[in-house]
Amino acid sequence: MKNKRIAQRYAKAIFDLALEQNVFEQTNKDMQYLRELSQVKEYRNMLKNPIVPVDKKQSTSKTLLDNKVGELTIAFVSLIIRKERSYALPGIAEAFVEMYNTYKKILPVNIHTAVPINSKIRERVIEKIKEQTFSEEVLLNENVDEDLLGGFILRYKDKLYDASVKRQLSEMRKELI
Amino acid sequence: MAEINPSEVSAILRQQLSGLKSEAQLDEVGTVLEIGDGIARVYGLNNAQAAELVEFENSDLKGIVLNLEEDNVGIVLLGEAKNIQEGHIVKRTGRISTINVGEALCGRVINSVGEPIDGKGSIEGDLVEMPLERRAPGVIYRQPVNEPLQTGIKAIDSMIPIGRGQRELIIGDRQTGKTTLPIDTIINQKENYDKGEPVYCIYVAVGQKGSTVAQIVKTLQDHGAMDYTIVISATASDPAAMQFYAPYAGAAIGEYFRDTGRSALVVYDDLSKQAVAYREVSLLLRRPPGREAYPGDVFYLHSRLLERSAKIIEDDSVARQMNDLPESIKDKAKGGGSLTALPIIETQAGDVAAYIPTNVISITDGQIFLESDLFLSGVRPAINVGISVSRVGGSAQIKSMKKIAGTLKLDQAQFRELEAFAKFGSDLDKATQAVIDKGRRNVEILKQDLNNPMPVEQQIAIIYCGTKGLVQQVPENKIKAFEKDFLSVMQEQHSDVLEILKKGKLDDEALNTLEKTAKEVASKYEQKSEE
Repeated sequence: MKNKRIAQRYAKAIFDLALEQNVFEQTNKDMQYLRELSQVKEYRNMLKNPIVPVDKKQSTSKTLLDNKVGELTIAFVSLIIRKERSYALPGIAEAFVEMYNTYKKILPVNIHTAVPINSKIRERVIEKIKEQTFSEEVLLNENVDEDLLGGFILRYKDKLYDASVKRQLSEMRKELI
Repeated sequence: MAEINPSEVSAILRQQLSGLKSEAQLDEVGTVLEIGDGIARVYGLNNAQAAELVEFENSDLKGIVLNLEEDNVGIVLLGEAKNIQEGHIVKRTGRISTINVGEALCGRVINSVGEPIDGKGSIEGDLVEMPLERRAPGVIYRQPVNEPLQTGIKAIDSMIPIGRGQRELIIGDRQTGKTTLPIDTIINQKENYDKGEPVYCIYVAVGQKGSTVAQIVKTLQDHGAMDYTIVISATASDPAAMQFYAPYAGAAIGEYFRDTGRSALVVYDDLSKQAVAYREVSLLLRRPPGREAYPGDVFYLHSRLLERSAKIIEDDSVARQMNDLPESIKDKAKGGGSLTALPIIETQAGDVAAYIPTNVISITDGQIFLESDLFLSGVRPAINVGISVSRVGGSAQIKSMKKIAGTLKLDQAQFRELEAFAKFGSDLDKATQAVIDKGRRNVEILKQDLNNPMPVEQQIAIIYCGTKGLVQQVPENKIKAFEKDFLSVMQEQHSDVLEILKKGKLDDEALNTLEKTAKEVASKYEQKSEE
């Protein structure tokens, strides 16, 4: 939780700076790249590990990021590592993307279905969500989960719409027993 | 063999399922960040209210929202956190935590959320939802205490009377008979129950041993007192949240009876353990600790609980306007009900100046001090009369008792003071000796056996003998025998006099009869002592 607060402070800083320097879109891509990069266990562990010296972290990050991300991002990552906040880097990337989405009114949505959905349904779902949530763009993250048996579960922000057959069955079970 | 009609069977099944809502709805959810030690931190749940009930997915576990922070909410768990991991979903229910209350609860043992734990099956009948946390009735919906709550204990009914709607603290060290007093009081309400004007009793056991609770339930059953009693049990092995919510559940049940125009008595046994449970939860939620590591709002924890005890105004139309009356009992609301509270506090080595004892002493309308010295010297109930008080109960005492026991408390205080001198065995003047003799006999009279409450009219009769000095010639060790003898004579030959005393009247004729009978019976014992 403490990490989260730290992450939001740094993310806000780079967010404002990116807006100012007109490298907003580029930085967003950089941060998404950084987010994916920090999913790699080895890199993540290295960032977290306080035994690894700062300059080692600097050089590794530089090699990994060079030619892939913008100048601003490279400078930013270098600052974070210098300030010994490298453990917060994954969180910062996460927080930045979240901020970007809110700014652009993009809504990430998770959908779970029993079978893969076709494009027609996908369009209708996106249309419906846009209408309900007043967002301009919907990022649909599709997951297939056979346990649901049928129907779908929709999740965005802290809302959950459970229209799966699994839930209906379990409710029926509750009613009977 | 009867023929089975499959279509009939399916019709019945369909009927049972007809109430099922298969329609999905939008839930507000959060994800578990961390869980353990009876609390969970959850990310999301942005609109959750304080004290709201939440449900965990993949289990029956429920929790109550206690902390609302910037980026997470702190939840106390009402059960064991099995099968729950980081990332699991928590759902809002939109309901503030409630308990289902109804007449059918009588005779049952339940836990803090109203589930039966006595193995007698689910609770049937009309049940209404009562909120666990509720604001106490405002000033205009109350009236002063004016009706006595007879405890059946001589020392209390005569000197520290308790009125319906009062909060009287019972405080003392371990092993001084703290639990016995309210249990006897509950047993004594059988008379009201038989008369058809029951005082519903709620016994809340917080942090006690399961065996102790079972023992208490058995005692109540043996005396036929479970018919109008509800036991709420949160034993030492239950989660801390269950323990600190148990008194609130008791108050909620009591309020149901209070607001429907009836009398109820709730015993919180004991609030020191509740405070400890609350401290545990508070510290785990990282609320800053204060004195003795209790959180800052431990006073509020007890004051808001005890404020819910009240005598409600007789006027039905006013009572119906009561603040925070739950929707569920709005149409049943009536005036004239009361909720009496007997909180218990356990002290450590008689230290009443510790944090929790001073808090609760200042909240309640009086306190009954129990002392282990007295207990061990055979004075049972071990009430220290000198420092026990009842701030409002006096106006509720019945007239005949008030008149007869009026001087008893002062006499006893004086006696205690002089008793110290008597120990030196020095020569005492006659007046002093008389005070001491009388005091000693009064102490004997006020002794009472376990689970043996005495009807108020008998109390008046025997206390009259003590205060008037009618037993001065009876040796101390014969007082108990005299009491038994005297009361049986009174019951057999002068039941009309007892009847009058019970009504609260006191006339010369009655007093004469009392005096005459006492002298007659006493003479028997005097002779024996001279032999």
